Amino acid sequence: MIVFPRSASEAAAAAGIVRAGGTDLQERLHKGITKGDLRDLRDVVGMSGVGPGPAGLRVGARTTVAQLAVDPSIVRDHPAVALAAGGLATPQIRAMGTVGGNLSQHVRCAYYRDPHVTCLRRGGSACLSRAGDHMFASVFDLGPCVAPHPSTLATALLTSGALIELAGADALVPLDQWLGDGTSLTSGGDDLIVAVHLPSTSPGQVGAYVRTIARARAEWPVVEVAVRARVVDGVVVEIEAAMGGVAPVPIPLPGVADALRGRPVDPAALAPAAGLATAGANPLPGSAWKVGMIPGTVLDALERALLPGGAA
Amino acid sequence: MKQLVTLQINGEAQTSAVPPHWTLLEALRYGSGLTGSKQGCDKGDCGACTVLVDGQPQLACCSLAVTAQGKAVTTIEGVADARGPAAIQRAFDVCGALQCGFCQPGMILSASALLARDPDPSLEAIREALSGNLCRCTGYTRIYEAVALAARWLREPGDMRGEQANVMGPAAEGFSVVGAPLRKRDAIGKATGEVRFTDDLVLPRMLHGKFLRSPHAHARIVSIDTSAASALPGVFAVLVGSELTTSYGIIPWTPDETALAVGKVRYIGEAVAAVAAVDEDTAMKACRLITVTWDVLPPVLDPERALDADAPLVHEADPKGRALSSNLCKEVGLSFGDVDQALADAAVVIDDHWTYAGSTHAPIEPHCAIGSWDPDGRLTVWSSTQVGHYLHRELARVLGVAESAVRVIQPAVGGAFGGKSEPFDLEFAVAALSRKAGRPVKILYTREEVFYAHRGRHPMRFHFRIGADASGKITAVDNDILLDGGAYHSFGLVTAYYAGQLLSGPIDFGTYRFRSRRVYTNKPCNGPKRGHGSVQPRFPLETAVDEIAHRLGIDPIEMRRINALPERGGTTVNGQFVPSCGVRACLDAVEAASGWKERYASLPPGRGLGVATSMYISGTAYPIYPNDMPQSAVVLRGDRSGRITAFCGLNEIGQGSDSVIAWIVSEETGVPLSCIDVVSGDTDLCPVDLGAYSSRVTMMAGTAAKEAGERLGARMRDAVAAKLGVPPERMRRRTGFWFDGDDPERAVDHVTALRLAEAAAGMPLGEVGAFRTRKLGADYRGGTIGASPAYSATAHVVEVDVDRETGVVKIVGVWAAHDCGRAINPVTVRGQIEGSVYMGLSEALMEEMVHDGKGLLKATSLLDYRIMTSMDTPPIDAHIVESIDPVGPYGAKEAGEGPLHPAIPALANAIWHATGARMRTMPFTPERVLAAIRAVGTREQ
Repeated sequence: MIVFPRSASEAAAAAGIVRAGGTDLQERLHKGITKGDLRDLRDVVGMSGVGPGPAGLRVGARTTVAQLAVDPSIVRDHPAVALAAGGLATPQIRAMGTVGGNLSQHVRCAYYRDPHVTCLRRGGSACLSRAGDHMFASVFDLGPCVAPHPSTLATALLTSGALIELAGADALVPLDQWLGDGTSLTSGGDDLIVAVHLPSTSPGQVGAYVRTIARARAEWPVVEVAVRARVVDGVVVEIEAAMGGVAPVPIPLPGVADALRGRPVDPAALAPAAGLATAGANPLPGSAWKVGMIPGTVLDALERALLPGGAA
Repeated sequence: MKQLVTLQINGEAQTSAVPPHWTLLEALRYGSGLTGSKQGCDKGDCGACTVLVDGQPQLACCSLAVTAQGKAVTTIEGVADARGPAAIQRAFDVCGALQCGFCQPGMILSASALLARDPDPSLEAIREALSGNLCRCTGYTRIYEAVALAARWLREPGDMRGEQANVMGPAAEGFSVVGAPLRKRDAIGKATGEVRFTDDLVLPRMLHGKFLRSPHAHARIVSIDTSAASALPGVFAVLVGSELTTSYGIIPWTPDETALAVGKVRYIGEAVAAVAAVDEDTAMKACRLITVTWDVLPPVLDPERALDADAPLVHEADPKGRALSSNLCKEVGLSFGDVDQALADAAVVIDDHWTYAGSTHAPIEPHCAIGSWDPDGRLTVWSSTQVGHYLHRELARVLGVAESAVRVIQPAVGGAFGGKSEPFDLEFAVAALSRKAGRPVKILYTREEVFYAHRGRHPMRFHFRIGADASGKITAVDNDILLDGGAYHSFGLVTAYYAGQLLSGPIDFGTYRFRSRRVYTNKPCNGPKRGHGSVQPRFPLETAVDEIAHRLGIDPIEMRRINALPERGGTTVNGQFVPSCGVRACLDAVEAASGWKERYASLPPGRGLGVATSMYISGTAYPIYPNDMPQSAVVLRGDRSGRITAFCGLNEIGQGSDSVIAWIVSEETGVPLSCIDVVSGDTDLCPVDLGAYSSRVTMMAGTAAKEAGERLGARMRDAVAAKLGVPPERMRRRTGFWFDGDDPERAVDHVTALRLAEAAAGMPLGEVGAFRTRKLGADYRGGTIGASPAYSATAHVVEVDVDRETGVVKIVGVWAAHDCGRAINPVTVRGQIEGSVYMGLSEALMEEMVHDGKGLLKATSLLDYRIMTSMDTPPIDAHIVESIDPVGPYGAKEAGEGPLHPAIPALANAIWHATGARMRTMPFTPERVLAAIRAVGTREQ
């Protein structure tokens, strides 16, 4: 069964698995990992596009990743978000995948995706990756499942203090609150995402998005880092950083940002600041190598955001 | 319940009733019969199903038909118009961008969308736009050129066909066809989506089959209950292993596989049962209704552990039923000269361990087969195989019918690379299910099943010792090799030999010893991947040679010159005769093209250049099963309409072998290419050719075509000479004509020439030619394995940029020179070089078959099993070296596999040059490179 609700409220009231771009869902359906009726957002009006909103910008949940990457207001006010959107997956996936879908996609763990086995997330009794192969798993071991959060957009949106508009809810939910602390298997919850709100920013935003991966495209990153900053007269007046691919939720990097905020841009200060990103890491035996990839990735992102001409 | 959907497909409104769960791809392929959109991965990872939705490239396999309602969908069938193929399609053809052609409908649509928004795209823009379309054949370089050429044609409208002619160049000196950069005969059909692959074929009343596969790496099958599956409406046949117990194997001495598991399973993913039903969904549902009672056994996964006395046995008995006491599948030990003495006398010795990771072919077309029996009990199997003849023999044996009752047809194949070079479960299953159901049955592998079928590159572990004297001459090589074979034999005994036997050139050793052991483990079976068995040992050899060069202060390129086999008539340390070896010219070419001399000593930190060489066979000395018949044959039929049809059992898998036959026949008869047909890959119609493996086709089928062409050409010459009243030896030909060499005005066109020849013969024109087995190889047990009529040679230089903070390696430049003897067509040879380079670099940089502690394959998709995208692949600078081999047709040798080998060690040597870190383990992923860099740093402190 598939239903085509015509509005967000109809969609929220309908039963079934929410389908938007389908780029993740289709594989899960094909493998039998996800089963059930569908409520497809094809006909829902008012859920696409970027426009003004109560907090600043409102990004409809059905806005495609490709649209987000080139939207002039996003590029101007939230450059790290635009760069992240333009740097993930492939042109086809970006053209189909939506903002809401990117936030709601399921983890990429091989055990989760393999129909031969039943992992914790699919109703099994234990995290199979924790006991088995976990080379690409989390290095901040926050919860029962060790698969890293798959959303690149969530990582970048954290640096902009994004808020989530859920169907039927009056108040916007801060993204970090929506994501949770990684201890739950149901991060984000089941409520339909209607839009993502981005608070207004002061002019002069700079940003960077860097992912460390073996292949240039279409790969979940070992580590990914987004940085949003504003530099006035050589002084870092605003900076926020967040990191993905390393924990069950994307994690903000307040320590890194605090070390640089309010100080003149100093190339020599970037590496020590980047080094702070590993604080608190408690990797699994097989994922410990990933900790070593963090400082270089953070440094690269800081250099691209803060130094004229970007990274050396 | 079906839903009505109206789609605007290629400008035409089409309303059809589709099940709501159907993808857009299913609606296009099954509903509308538009099979140009391909199913490569069925989950959005490969891009072969790319269509334009409202002008934007999207994935038809992730879209639902019902959600595309009202949108404008453009498929490859809608790109051409009444004037013919579009500029982008013609450009792909002209540039040689089409090999297997399976990924290219999607690729062409992505490129069209790019050109619609950017009339003059930069190389970077082209690479970015194509980054969601995986190609496994071409190495992308010809594709980059094709997109740029199409952009130019569109910006400067003119006579595209005239332009096409300009792109095409002249033939080699003294030839009318050989050496000319001609278009492939099947390319434009691939560019327009018209060429039919196996899954594009639909037979009346055809059923669809699916497999139930093992969830255990090692388990006994206690019982199988198929009653619920059989009772499911829509199910027509269910098959289990006990119904098809004759074992098979590509090597006649080691038939250790059965179509479906009998008694026990030996890897996760092994087929246990098969179902044929009205559609795939019903067949899958039925598979889930089959209950198997398992007695789960401990698996053995590590090849060293497999040799322990107490290791579980993967096979308890050999194919003859004799009890086995070990997992050792094959052991080879050969020694040439006093290696110990030479090592003791050496000025430099490198003694270390290397690990080569297993990788897989990942053709974009999943394996597919259709079986159908006619009322007289004859079986026809259509299959995406690269060894139609061997499949023919094994089908007859396993199904228990005469070979004369079996026909194998190989439609277009969407990439193979060795991954389709033996019989597979699906070919037997479609035949047996079809026999039971009384209807044709098709099985298309899912992408996961392609990974389980595997037969990819063997993981190998080496203890490698190499010694050189003070002048840099390699005096000794001692190699102890452990091959992880996986669950079955496959080509195993050949692989075990090749790992040692093929290493002895173009670097010549003074003495040589190797021990090679292949063991069984509970994992998908390893087999032949492009450069069968001989790619892996080049990693230790060529990186160790590099290390010796640096220790002795010798330039790495010079080091290889010092040790090269002679250019003519060399003999390797293990006794293989090498008629021609152009490795020195290859080294000269890459040295000059890469700017090696000027740049090697002055690159900044993090940047590095590396070199490596290799040699490869042009076909094997003997067929897989001993016999005295030809290894390849061509039958020509001349027709009074002016056409020639060439019949040859070869398997065209995108490498261009059909075209090679046409070019050679045209060269020898003067008949234009437009009047030559090639019928191949059909065991009823064609004389036997052994298949597309071991780089044998141009050498063997090419020789057969040349012999048949010469004979038919002689008939035409003699008949025209008689007509003109001139001695036959005075006759000359050029494309389309035979003429008097002394008076070129006296000419006869090829149609008349064929008619005169037919009249002179007094019967229809037919000629045959063959490649006959000749005695080759050295005179010791195993001395014929690795023997070949001729050997190619290759040299690569790779340039890398290594991020010392993260270990990410970026390939900046690749220069590859390959001695193919003679390029019968330089465009297709270049395509083979580039594709080989790409495949080697990709496995060196990121590919690995990883299993967890229970034998579960970790990456069974083209997303999780990473292969290089266009964004990872810089343009490859390919150089052709022509040594004009004394044996091959027109001097030609192989070009399809040899150029892969040096990529891996050249990349490793470049990483060393950039960082000081010697990579001993593959692939060179960021974590491994970073660890190696940090280990060097630690040592330096």
